Amino acid sequence: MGKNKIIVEISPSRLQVAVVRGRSVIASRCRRVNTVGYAERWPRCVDDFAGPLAELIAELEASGSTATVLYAGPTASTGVFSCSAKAGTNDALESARLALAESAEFALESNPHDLAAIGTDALIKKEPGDAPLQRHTLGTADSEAVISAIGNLMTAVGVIPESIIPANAPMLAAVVEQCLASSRQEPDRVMLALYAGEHGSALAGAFNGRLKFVREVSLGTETLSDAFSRASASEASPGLGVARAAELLQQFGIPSRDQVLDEATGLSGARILPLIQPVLQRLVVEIKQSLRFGIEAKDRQQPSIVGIGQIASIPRLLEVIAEQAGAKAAPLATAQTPAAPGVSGLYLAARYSIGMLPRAICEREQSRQVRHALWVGVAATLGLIGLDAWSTMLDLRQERSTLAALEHRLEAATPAQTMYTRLKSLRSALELANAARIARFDGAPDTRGVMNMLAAHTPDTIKLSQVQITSEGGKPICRVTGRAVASSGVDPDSAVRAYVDSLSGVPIVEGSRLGQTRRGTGTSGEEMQTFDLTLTLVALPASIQTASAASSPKVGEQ
Amino acid sequence: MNNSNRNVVAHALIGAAILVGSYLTVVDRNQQQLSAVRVQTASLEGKVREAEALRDLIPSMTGALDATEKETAAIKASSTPVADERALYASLMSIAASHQVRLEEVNPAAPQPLMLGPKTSAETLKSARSIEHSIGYSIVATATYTNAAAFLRAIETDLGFSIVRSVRLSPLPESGMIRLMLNTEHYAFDVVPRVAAVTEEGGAAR
Repeated sequence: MGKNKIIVEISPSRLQVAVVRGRSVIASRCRRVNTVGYAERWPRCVDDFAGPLAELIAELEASGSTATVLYAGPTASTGVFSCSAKAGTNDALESARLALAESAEFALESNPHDLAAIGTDALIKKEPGDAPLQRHTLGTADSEAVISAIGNLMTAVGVIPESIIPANAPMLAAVVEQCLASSRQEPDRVMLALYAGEHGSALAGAFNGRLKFVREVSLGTETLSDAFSRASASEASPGLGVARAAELLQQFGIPSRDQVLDEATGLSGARILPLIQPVLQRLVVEIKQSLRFGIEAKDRQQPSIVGIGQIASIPRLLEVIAEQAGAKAAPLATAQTPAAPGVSGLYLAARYSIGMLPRAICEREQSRQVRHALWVGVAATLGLIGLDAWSTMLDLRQERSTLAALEHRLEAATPAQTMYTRLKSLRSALELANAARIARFDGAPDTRGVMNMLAAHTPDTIKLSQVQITSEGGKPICRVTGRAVASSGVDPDSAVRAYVDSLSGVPIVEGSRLGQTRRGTGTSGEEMQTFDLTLTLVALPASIQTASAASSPKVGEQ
Repeated sequence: MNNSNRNVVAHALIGAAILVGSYLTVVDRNQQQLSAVRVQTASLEGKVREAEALRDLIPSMTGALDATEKETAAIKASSTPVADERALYASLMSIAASHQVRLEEVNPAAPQPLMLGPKTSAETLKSARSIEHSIGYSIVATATYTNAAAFLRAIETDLGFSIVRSVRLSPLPESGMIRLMLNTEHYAFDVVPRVAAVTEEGGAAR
C-alpha cells in the first residue's frame, strides 16, 4: 500500500494495527495476545510481538508504512507538569523537562523524551485566594533500550517507526483536556474525567476552570474482563476465555444480579458481581482519595464525572462508579466519537504532538530532514537560477534586437559617414600641404617687387654696381652697392641721402641702413660718393608669394 | 564526524556544485554575452547618432567637398612641374628664351633646409618634410634689367610652386646688360588623404 500511516498499539493483552488517513481509521486489525511475564521481561518481551505484528501488517498490506507506536510499558515515565500560566511556552516546557527529569529513573539527557503543551487553566470566576492559572505540559520519557527495542521491532516487521509513545500519555492528556473543557461549562461544580483503558486508567479533576489533579490508576477494563472470566470458571470447566469475557463485558457491562450473561456456562450477574465489586471499589476509593486530597472541602459537593473511551461504551459502568463515588455521571463536554478503540482513538483526536524515537533513528531522521531541506533549497535556488536565466535571456534577446536595429540605421547613414570621412581626410591633407607651403614660402624675398622698386626710384645720379636680394635669419633683405655722382650742383652726399629717403618711403621697405660711404673722384674728374645700403624688406606671406602659382582661394580655408 | 554528518556534507557539496554549475552554465554565460552586447550597443548608439547627424549636413558637406577638391586639384597642378625634372628644366630654358635671357650656367643646387619658423610647429615641420619634393638650381644668366625682372617673375608664376631664393645683380659695363646670379627652388606637395588616421580623427572629432 506504499507510504500509508499506521498506528500500532501494544499492550500485554492486545496487539492492534490501524491504517489511518488524516484523523480517520480506514482499516484495522486487532489480535489478543497472552504475553506471560510482560512486566518482568520488559522490554525483551517486545520481540514476542514480531510474529503477530508481521501478520497483521501483511493482512493490511501496510508494509513500508510509517508507524506510530502506542505501547504499555512499565518503564515509561509520563506525567502532566504544571507551572504558572504567566511563564512562556518555552519556560513551561523547560520547567516540565526539569520535573520529568526528577520523576524519571534514568538520565533524561541520554534517553528519549518529549514534551508537549496540552492546556491552560481558564479564568471563569475570580475568587479571593485563588491559585494562579496554570499551564499544563505533558511529558514522557523512556529508556533508550525500550525505545530501541520497539524501533527495532518496527523495522523488523517492515514499517518505519515515526513516533513511539507510552500509552498512558494520550490517556493523561485526554482526561486533562476533557476535564478542563467540562469545568469551563460547569465552573461551579467539581468536574472529574475518567479514562479507563485495558490495563490502566487516568483520572483528572478540575474546578472553576482550573485543573486540580491528574493521576494514573493501575486498574483497567482488563481487570473487569478477568473477573468475568474467573466468574465463569469452575472445577469442571476453565470457563470463558479472556476474549469472550471482554466481549461479554462490552455487551452487558455491570449486570444486574438476576441477569444471565452466558447460558452455556450459566454465567449470571449473581456470580459476577461479587468478583467485580472489589475492582469497582478500588476505583471508587481512588476517586474519593483524589477528591479529598485534590479538591478543597467546600468545593467538593456533588462532583460530576465524565467517562472517556471504552468506559463510556460499557453499559452502566460509569453510572455505578459515579453512584458509589458520590458523583453524578455527566456527558462529555466535547462530542467526540473515537476514530478507533483504545488509546489509538485518543491519539488520533489529540491536538498536540508528542513522541520519541531511538537515538539512531532520530539522528537518521534528522539527517534525512536536513538532506531533504538541503535539496528543497537546491531546487528552490535552481528555480531562481532558471528565472534569472530566463530574464537574462529575454534581456539578451531584446538587446540583440536593439543592436540589429542600430546596425540597420548605421548602414542607412553610411553615405553621409563616407562623405564626412572623405571630406575630413582631404581637408587634413590640404592643411598639411598648406603648412608645408607656408613653411617654405613665408618670408621669402619679393625679387620682382625689389627690382621694380629700384627701377622706379633710382635716379640718373645714382649708379648701382651690385644688387643682392636674399633672406637672412628669415628676413628678406636687399644689399645695394653704388655711387652717387655730382651733377647740376647736387652734392653727391645729398644725392645718396635723397636716394635712401626715397627707397625708405617705399611700402615694401621696412627699414634701411646706410653702410660705408666714400668720397672720391670719377674718371672724368667729377666728384662722387660710393655707398653700401642695406634695405630690410617687408616679409610677404606665403599666400601672396604663391598667389599666382595656386590661383585658387587659400588652401584649407572655405 | 559520523556517517550521517558526512552524508549531509556530501549532499551539501553536491548541491553546491550543481548550483554553481547551473549558474555558470545558464546565467553567467548569458550575462557575459549580455554585457558584451550592451557595450556594442552603447558604442553603436554613439556612431549612429554621429552618422545620422551627418546626414543632415550632406548639402553643406557636398559644397565643402567640391571646394576642397578644387583646392586639391590646384595644388596638384602647381606641383606638376617638379614631378618631371626634364620638363622643368625645359620650361626654365623656354622661359629664359622667351624673355631674352641668356643662361650661362644652370647647376642643380640643394634647396635650403626647411627650418622651424615662428608659425611652424615641430610636428608640422616633420609632416611637411614628408610630403614635399624639391629641386633647386643655381643659375648664372645675362639679360637686360627689364628682361631679368620679367624672367624672375616668370619663374615664380609659370613654374608652379617656385621661388627665387636669392639673386645678385651686377651690371656688365658698356653693354647695357646685367649679370644675374640666382638660386631658384621648385616644390611639389603631396595631397594624399591618409584615410586611417583621418577616420580615427573623424571618429573622435564628435
